[in-house]
Amino acid sequence: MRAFVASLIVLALVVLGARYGLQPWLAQPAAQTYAGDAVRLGE
Amino acid sequence: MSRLRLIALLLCAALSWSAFGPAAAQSVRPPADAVENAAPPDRNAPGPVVGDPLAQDWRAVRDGEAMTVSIPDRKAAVLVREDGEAWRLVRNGPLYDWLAWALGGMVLLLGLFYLLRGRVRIERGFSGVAIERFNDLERMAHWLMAVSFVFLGVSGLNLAYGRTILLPLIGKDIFGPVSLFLKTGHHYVAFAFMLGLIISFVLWVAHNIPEWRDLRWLSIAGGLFSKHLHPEAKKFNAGQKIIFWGTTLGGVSLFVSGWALLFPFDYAFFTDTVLALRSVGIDLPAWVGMPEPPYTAVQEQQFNQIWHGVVAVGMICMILAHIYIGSVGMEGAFDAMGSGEVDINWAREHHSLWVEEHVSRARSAEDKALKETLG
Repeated sequence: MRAFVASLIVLALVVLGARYGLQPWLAQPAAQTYAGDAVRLGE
Repeated sequence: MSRLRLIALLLCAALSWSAFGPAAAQSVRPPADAVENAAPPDRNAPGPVVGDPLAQDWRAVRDGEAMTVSIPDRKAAVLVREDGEAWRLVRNGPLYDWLAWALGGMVLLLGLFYLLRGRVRIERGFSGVAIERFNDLERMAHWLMAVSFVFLGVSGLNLAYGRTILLPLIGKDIFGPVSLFLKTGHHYVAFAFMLGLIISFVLWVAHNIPEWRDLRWLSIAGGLFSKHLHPEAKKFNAGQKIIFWGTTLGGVSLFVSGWALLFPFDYAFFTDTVLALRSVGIDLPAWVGMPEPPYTAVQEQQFNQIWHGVVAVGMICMILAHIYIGSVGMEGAFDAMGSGEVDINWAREHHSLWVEEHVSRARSAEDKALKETLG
């Protein structure tokens, strides 16, 4: 039980770290996809 | 102990809110001016008149011709991709069908095994004497992997089959937020799984080097089909070694392909892998009908997605068997990861060489202590 609870604590800490640590990089593809005007045909 | 539980509960609550709460939901909404329910692409529309410039433009778009874009994402210059449609048909068709058959087949096999063999009992019964099999750190790493793998498996399967299975059952008002939570969580829980995998690898790799006696264990399937056959094994038997290497290699492969899906279009793992294999005489495209490398950034993503799904379902099937034999399938097995101590009769039947090592280590420690006491 002690090991299981410890694993939950580590899991929560790692997930929080990844959530906030990766945020600046995860935002980039979305910014590329939705930025500005899109396509001009026939050029 | 209770303090530990309280900390875990608080962390989980904070995690649910901050990692997957409203802030996480904002980025996936389509822009307000997004086109909805657009008509499917038609090679002949619009402009049925031959020579109509609009019709020519449309034909070029439909044929995957690259236009000009003023945004950083150059891939947007190709509006319609033939290979994208082909990938979608493979993914939503045969791929998901085969993976579902694999999962269903494994569940049926385990059910059949239980019906035919029943629970594997300790032949000599519980002795009442327990020896330590896994210490706190080993069990923590195992449960870190286990909990995160279950979350990753459920959230991944929801991506593939949720719309077909779960949506009709719970309705879109619940399915939407649940899927968003699972999908967002999938990104971050993967790192916890990798941490557990790294710790386990360091702790157990020395015990999982294949040996000749593993062939004997495999040749009689570990004695699982006989009530009196107990092939000798050290700390891990051949079946557990397969689980160890399957989890390690599969986990790393899932992490690499998942990383490429998390940061799309930045990597060319499949081009690099196919070219590397070809340099040693393995022509993967010819063998499995893949296109020729180098692959476009979009094709890389398509292969990553298919590979991620195939390896994940392979691992889920393997882990289902592991969970079965570690719980209802075998008497006394769960204690190894539950309390960390197993009954000595169970250990003698399934890991006889490990018990001998354990006992001999304990005896030499006792002898040493006795000699020191006697001076």
